[in-house]
This record gives sequence, C-alpha cells and structure tokens, in this order.
Amino acid sequence: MVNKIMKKEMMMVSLVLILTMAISLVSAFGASTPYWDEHPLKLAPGESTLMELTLQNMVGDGSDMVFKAEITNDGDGVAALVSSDTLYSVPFGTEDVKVPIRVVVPEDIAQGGKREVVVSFMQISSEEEGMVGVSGGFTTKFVVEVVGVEDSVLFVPPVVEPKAEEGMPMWGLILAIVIVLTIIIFWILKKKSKK
Amino acid sequence: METKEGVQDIKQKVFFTTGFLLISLVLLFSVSFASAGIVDWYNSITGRASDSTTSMAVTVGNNAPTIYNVTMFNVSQNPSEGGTRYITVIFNVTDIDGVTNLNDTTAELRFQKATETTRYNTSCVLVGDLNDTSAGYSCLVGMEYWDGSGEWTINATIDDINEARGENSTETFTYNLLTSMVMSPTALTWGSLNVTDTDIGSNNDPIKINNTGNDKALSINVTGYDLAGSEIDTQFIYAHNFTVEATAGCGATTLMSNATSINVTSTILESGNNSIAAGDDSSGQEELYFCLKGLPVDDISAQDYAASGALSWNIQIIT
Repeated sequence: MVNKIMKKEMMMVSLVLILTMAISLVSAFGASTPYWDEHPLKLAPGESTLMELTLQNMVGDGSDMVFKAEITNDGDGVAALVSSDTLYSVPFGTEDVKVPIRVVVPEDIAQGGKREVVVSFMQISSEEEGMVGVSGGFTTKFVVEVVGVEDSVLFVPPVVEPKAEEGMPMWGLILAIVIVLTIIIFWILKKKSKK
Repeated sequence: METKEGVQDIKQKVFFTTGFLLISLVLLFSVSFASAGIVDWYNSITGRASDSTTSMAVTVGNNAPTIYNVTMFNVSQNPSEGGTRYITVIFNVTDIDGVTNLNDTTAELRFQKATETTRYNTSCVLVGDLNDTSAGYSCLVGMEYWDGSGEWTINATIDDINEARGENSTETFTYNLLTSMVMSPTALTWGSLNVTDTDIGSNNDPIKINNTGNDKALSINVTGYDLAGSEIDTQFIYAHNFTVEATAGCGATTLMSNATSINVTSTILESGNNSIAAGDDSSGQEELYFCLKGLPVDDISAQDYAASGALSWNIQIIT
C-alpha cells in the first residue's frame, strides 16, 4: 500500500520535472493578407487570379517555425492552395514566406455574391519525448466578391490614345490653294485684257 | 477713259484686298482648332475669358509651392509582426519663384485614416533640385503593427520662405491585415500532486498571448489532447480533466476535450500596443489559465504522462 502511494507521488514529481524543461519558450508567428472582410477580392464570373498570404516570424525567442496550411473553407470551391506541399518553413526573422492561393470564380455564379475563404495554419511541434508542449496556430480569412468586369481587380481600363494635334485641316488647305490660284489666274487674265 | 481705268484700278485693289482677307481668314480658321473652338479664338481676340466661370487667388509677390508626383514604391503594405513598418514616400515640389524660395525644413508627410493615429515625419529630406523651380523630397514614415488595416491617405506638405503652403492629399495606400500573435510560455507545469488532489492550477500559467498584428476581435481556441503514459500508453490523464479560462483559479467551466478545438468564450484578443502591458484589450493582450480538476481515479499508474509533438496542445487565434 505504501509502495503504491510512493509510486503515485513519484509519477507526479517526474511530470513536474519534465514539464519544467519546456518553459520559457516563446512562439511568434502570423500571416498578412491583401484582402479581408472590408477589403474583398473582387472578381467577375469566369475570372481567376493568384493571391498570396505572407507568413512572418519576426519576434519571439529566435526559433524557426514550421506550419501546416489547410483551407478549411474554400468558399464553395473558389479557392485552393497552389502547392501540394502544405508545410511552410518560416525561419526566425523572415516576413516574406508566400503562400499562394488560386482563386477561380465560376462562370455561372451571380454577381453580388460573396464567398468567404478561411485558411488555417497549425504549428508543427518538434518530436521531443516526455514533454507536454503547447503549440500555436491561427486562421486568416478573406472574402471573394463577385462583381462586374469593370469592378474586377483584373480590369485594365482601355488606354485612350491621345488625339494627335491637328494642324491646318485638309479642307482649309485646299480652299486656300483654290482661292490663291483663282486670284492668280484672275490677275493674269486681267493683265492680258489690259494689254 | 481715265475714269474707266480708275474704276478698274479700284476694282483690282478691292479684288486683291478681298482675296488677301479671304486667304487670311481661311488660314486663321484652319490653324489648330483641335483644342480651341472658334469661340475661344474670338475670346482670345476680345480678351473675354475662355471659361464661363473663373476663380483666382493671387498673392502679390509670392506663389505657393505645388506638390506633385507623390510616389510610394508599393501601394499595398504589410504590417511587420510586432514591429514598425517603415515606408518611403517621395514627392516633387514646384515653386515658380524658384527652388530657393522653398523652405526645405518644412517638408512633412502624414499617413491619415479616420479613427486611427496619424503617422508622420516632420523631417523629410531634400533629395535634390530637379531644375530651377522644382525639387524632390523623400520621407520615411513608420506604421505600427496595431495600426488599422484599410486605405490610408498620404498627405504631403511644404511651406515656402514666405510661409505659403503647398499640400497634396491625392494619393492613398492600403495597409494590409496581419493576423499574428506571440505566446509564452509554450508549456505548462504543475506542482507536486497527489492522486486525490483536485482543482490544481498550473504553477506557471498564465500563458500570455499578445496580438502582434492589426486583426481585431480574435477568438482564442484551445485544443487539448489526452496525456498518454510513457510506459503504459493505454493509460491517460484525459484532456477533459483540465479546464481553461481567462481568469485565474479553478472556477472555470470551459472543459477541454480530446482533439477538439474549444473556444475560450471569456477571451477576445483585440489589437493594441503590447508595450503598454496592461494585460487587456487596450494593449492587445489576453491570458489563459489552466486547471487540473482532478486525476482519473482508476487505471492510472505511476509513470510519466506526456502530450508532445503532434499531440501538443494547441492555442489558435481565430479571425
């Protein structure tokens, strides 16, 4: 009986020691997105584009991070990760790890609709034995708004060619020549008739 | 006869004069009416203004500078996690009184957005003179990680030596949304336990979570996993033996559940300046406290119990 109690207490002590090994670490990470709820990605039916989330690991204790990316809401099929390798390594001090996402708006989707896309990032912890660790994660989301072609982010306004500066119009030139010729001929005829 | 010749002479003169006038008129009407009409031509002769309404502001002896070509290299800027994003803007200034009339020390730049703190630099730098009347300036402005996402206006100003001000607010840029956090510690400890103990709080909590981005009102979810025995891996301290809450103590009701993401409803992570260290919304901070409600009474042996690697507990911020 005594032996059993001692064993149970030993169990707890060992748990404390193991956990202590893991403290004082810091996890820091994040992702920026160029589109969000109030700033949706506007595309017209039938259009597609590539957008990028940007992973950062700028503060913390200097640890490198690895994240597993997953689209947890693809907006009814409009979004997909471009890369089949969904693990993203984010070394400490970097803020430019790109996660490309292909967004395709079907032809038959009605204008005015909005599709929410949610991307989840979960930290991959190192496989250290005997440790109860706490890893981090986050989600980021953006909205795809279906708009008319002219409101799309892909719309490029047609370039208006500047009108060439007009000199003397052709009709004016011709008229001037006719008048000058008429005067000259008339003047010559007059001179002849004088003689 | 002389009279007849005189009449002919007069006719000839009239003829030539008429011809000359006709040709002159044709040429006048023909020359470059591309942008100005006959009315403009008429107006230019009579001195009448080309436009129907005209407003003018005349400063005798001095002309205010004009700011143009306000340029940012990338009009879509990402916040820097937990830091300051420095953004360079260049702009040109023309003063028809000459570049010597510009007061270089008054060149300033501001990033403005409603409800947000204006970010500015009042010491923009003269890059150089472009010609006798124009000069270029460069400004570096820092945007903080908690500054709101959205469209910001770029406001550039400069005075001349007579304190006449030139201003330009025509350009904008987009400050993107950053969802990020820093948390510490990344493991939890408990003191010495007895199998009959209940409501034992972790002795190294709270886990402090700082919002190091500008995404607001984030939810916090926690996923726990059963702690498996290191020697007998069929024995567990179950995830549902633990609670998590935003307040200290073991009165929490948010029970964790194995491999299930549980929302900690008492927490909302706002954005803010972490260095204020208020530990609340104003500084973009939250705290999580963990409690072991008790150990399983049956089928538990004295051994190490762990949750590591893929079974590490997870704290996730949800936008």
